[in-house]
Amino acid sequence: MNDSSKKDNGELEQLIEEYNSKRSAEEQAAEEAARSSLKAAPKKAKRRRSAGLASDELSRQRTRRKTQKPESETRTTTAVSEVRSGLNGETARRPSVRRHEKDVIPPLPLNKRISPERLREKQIMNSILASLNSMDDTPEDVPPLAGFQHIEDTKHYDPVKPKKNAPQFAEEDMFAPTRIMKLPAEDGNDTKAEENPEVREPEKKPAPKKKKQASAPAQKKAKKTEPVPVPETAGDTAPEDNGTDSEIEKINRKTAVANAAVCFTLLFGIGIALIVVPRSSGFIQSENRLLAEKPSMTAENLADGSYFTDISKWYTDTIPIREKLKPMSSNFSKLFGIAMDDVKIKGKAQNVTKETLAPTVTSQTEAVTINTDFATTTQATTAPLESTTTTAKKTKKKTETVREIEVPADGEWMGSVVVSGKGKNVRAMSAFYGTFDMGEEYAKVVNKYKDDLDSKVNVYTLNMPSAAAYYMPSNLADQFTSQHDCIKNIGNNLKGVVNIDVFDALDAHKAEYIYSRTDHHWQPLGAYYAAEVFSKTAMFDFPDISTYSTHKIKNFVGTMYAYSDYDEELNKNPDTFIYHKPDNNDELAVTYYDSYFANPQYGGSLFFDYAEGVACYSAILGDDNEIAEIETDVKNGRTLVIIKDSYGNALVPYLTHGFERIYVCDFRYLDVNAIDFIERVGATDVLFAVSLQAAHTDSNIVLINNDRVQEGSPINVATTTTEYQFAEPETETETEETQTEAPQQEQYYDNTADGQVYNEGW
Amino acid sequence: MVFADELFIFLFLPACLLLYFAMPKLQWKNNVLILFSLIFYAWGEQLYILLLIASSLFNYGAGRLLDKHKDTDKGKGYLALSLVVNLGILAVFKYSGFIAENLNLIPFINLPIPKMHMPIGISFFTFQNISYTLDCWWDKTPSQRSFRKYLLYISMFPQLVAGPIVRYSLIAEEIDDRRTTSADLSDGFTRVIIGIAKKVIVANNLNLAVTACFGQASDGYAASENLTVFGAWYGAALVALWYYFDFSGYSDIAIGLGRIFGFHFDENFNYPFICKSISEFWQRWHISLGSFFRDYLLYVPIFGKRRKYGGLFLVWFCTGLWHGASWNFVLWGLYYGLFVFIETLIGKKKMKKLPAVIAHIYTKAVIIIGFGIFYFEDIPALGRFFKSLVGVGAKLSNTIMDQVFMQYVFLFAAALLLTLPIGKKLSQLAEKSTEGTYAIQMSKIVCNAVLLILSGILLLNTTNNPFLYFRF
Repeated sequence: MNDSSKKDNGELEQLIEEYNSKRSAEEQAAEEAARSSLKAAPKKAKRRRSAGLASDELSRQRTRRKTQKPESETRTTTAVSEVRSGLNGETARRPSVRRHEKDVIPPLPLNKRISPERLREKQIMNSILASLNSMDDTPEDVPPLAGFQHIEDTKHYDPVKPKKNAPQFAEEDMFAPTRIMKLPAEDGNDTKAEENPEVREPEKKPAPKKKKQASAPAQKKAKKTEPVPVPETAGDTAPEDNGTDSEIEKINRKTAVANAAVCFTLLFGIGIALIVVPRSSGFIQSENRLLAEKPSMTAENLADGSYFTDISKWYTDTIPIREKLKPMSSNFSKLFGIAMDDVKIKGKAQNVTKETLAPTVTSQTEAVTINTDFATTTQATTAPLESTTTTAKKTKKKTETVREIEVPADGEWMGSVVVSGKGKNVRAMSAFYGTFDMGEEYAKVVNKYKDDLDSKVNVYTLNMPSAAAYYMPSNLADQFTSQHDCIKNIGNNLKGVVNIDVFDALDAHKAEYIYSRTDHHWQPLGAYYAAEVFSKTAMFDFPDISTYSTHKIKNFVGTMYAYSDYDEELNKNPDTFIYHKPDNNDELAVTYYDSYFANPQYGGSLFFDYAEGVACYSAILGDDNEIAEIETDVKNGRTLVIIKDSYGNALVPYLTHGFERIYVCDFRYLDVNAIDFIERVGATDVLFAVSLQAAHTDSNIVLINNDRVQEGSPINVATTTTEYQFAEPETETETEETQTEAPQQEQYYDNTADGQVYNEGW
Repeated sequence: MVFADELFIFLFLPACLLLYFAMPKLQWKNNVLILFSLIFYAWGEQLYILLLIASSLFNYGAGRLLDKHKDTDKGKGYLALSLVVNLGILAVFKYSGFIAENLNLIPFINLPIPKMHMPIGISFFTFQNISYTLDCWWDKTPSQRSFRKYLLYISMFPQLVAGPIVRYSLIAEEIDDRRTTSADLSDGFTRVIIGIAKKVIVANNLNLAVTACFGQASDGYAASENLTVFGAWYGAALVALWYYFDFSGYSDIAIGLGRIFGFHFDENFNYPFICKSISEFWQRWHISLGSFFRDYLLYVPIFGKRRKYGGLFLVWFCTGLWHGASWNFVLWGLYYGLFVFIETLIGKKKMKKLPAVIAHIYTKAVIIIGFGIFYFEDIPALGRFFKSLVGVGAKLSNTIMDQVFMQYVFLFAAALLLTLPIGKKLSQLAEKSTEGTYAIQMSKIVCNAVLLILSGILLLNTTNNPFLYFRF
């Protein structure tokens, strides 16, 4: 083929004539047959790509050409190329029929006499028209992008390279904009000579491999949402007869490629990175939970779909930089608006009607007298259960059954979180959503406990308010029901149960550090003041705070960090968890049982000094799912059972001088019948230490009641080696001894990871 | 599987693209698409994939039969059968509980209320099936001869779960003949990223504001109990924006993905909030649904002489009901139907003469109230909403609402701006010069990168957050 360069235009004509004369009639007939079969090729309706005037024109032209009787000609290129290649007497190569109908351009009859210049012009014109015809297609001479063209694009014919001496046209004319709709003049002669599909555009400047010719020259729109139901059409833009249009298109094409490349790289890059990089696992402080684990494929979890949801969760959860990126998204959400007065309302906000206790409704509780005659209280017994309970009580128990209830997942937050303040004063608190109806329900359940138990057992309820009661910004505080009213409301509905109202006691000390700022619990100091109120009502020994040793754990960022959607202000200003150990701490015998009151672990401690991070609050009594039994050195015959939620933990260290034995059970994790348990351990006092919000939550109230009626007898009754003697109630002796102890030492447990000492919270 | 999910964006999608573009032949590519679509569906629905396949098989068979028995009574029978089966599937899986509840209101009837699990996307692919059989019957398209290709049409994952209701005739040819060009890739990716950004950045956060105003279905709309006038209007406007960004974001992802694979779906949203009349609103909102009902239901010759208005009533009833098995959705549909009816009575010319300001205020008010109706599935809550709209028993505003408004004020403003076709106008202006084109295209690339990364970061926080329309 390359010897074409040796021939010049003058010879061309001769060659053409030679060729034409050589062609036999049969070949020409064969050509015609092929041509007519092309005519019969089904015309595929192209909806979008052929919109616009140009292609309509062209298709009209095409049909016109098709219906013309083709003369016995052949295509110039085949003639020329085959002559050049020295193939003699062979039939012209036919292009294979392409599936795109519009690509099939019927062969152009060639005039017998045609000047080289005119030929050249026609070649150029044809190339223009050919590219017009194939507006959406990649021009033939550009190698098809691997995979992007489904059609088996075999090259039908080689592009014609311009001869060296061919008249040179300016490049821009050569690659004339494909949008130019200048159609060749429609005189009779030229229609035949117009098309020469064989003559393709001369090789475009060999594109750097990256440069993919965009086949849809439609104008790129920056915003991809398109206004009309018909998406962008190829021929949409008005043909503009200027050079800048092609430049714009070039830019569009180039940037389209760049855009696709960037997106691909990002997508695949991140995707591969996430596969390759080792995943994080274990416990994360910010959410106080373990990261999801990769589930193993079993038939069951495939069938019910949990495998797939778990894999999705695992995939997102264990992304290595997730913990570092979460503050970024919480900082991003700051952009959504303005926090007025530095107050932000986060979480699943709720907005409930505020109730107020009618002032005329005074406290209706009959004064409840505490039974202090502990000598006659039932002893702890190991006898089988049936002998101690009366049949009346048994039947009463059997009429009520456990009520199944859907409990929100442990730790799932309901309701608004209000974050107010800045710097060291930043505080996150949950809004309070109690209603009087709920308080009434709670009181009823506690009343039932009182009824079920022996009349000599003292039953108390101590419902602690949350931080919102004291620290909510005043304009917002008016929106929520008063927590003090709710405490009073509970009191109004109690029968025989003593209501320990700690609201005012805490209020008096609210300038002190009685509530954590970043955690939804109170600080042990707040519990101290609450326990003080309890001790006065229940009449037991209560040493002053100075008799306790103080311990601090720094860098305590509590649960509210997560519940406030990771408000970074909280993270930057952590709390310090300050707790106190009673002076008789070493004399305490602490045993932990499981929720069935079995499997005792002796020799435990009330305190877990190595608690850190978000779990600092569990420094007192540790996990909630264990029953704790504390035997003190006090000998007053009183046994206390505390039924509590997590708020109640902090009370316990301050009660160690008031009772011989203390049992601590969390109502959420009790698997034995509470009444049986209370009777068997020989309790003289039962305290419900449930936070006010929890006491106003329907599911919790049901759980507390379920504990009362559920099956499950305590396996182990408290058996200790020491024998109990019921001494006369003494009150003063203990406290005097403790005062002679050495002055309190402050002990710091610096549990910060990097050893940095943070300022004390508050 | 959900679109707004790290696993989908960074694992499933690249794997699918890799395999798709690695295939040299189109039919192999189609097979890859089918495989990934089935995985996509089975991921969320497991055994209900069989329902999808069975439904496609049935309709494929119906299409072939209708082709054979065109314009005969037998054909009519087959058509009726196919409609019954399709609508029956929908009724059973989606509406059985609703039907039972309502039948139980009749004193003598006491049916147990079945708790059917509604497979994702059933409304969408059922309607696609119906459109196919009706198109075959009306000879708008030849039936598909290959079940594999029909399954590709139905199960294609971009539009399977909440995508535009793509008609078979639209993509029939593209199943066999399409190619992806770099323009397709570029536009497709841009579209996908914009869709993801709309969903993750805008819609998810608007959702927080909505629940602050109105509460959620799961908590009985607790927050609506002391709704204020401002809260009601603001909340309903938020709901409108939230649904728009959620659903149009999803449609963008669907259309973009389709583009990447070489398909050209029709637009589903066309800046609906710039409408000047309610009829226009429905030509811009959920276009695929509106046109489905228009083409296949509006002219059902049931009502005889009152065909026009009877058909209207039926169409709007069905539009509302399609959105959910609850009476508030039906009310919503009829509410819009009423306004469309009024506007047809007034006539197009007079509607056009309405001054623009009045038209905009009228349409926005109707739309906002309409979305309030759409949101509250609980009738008492809906009643409270109506009362507080006009200020009956409700204060003008309260502190919490003011707080919430200020907390989301920039997001709200941005969302309002994004409902306007600003980007389109900008790019049209810029494309007049090369510098402008260059600037616009470059900024597009930068935006894509930033939005993709930002969405990826934000997605780290949320656990699965299903699209609103998954209930359908």
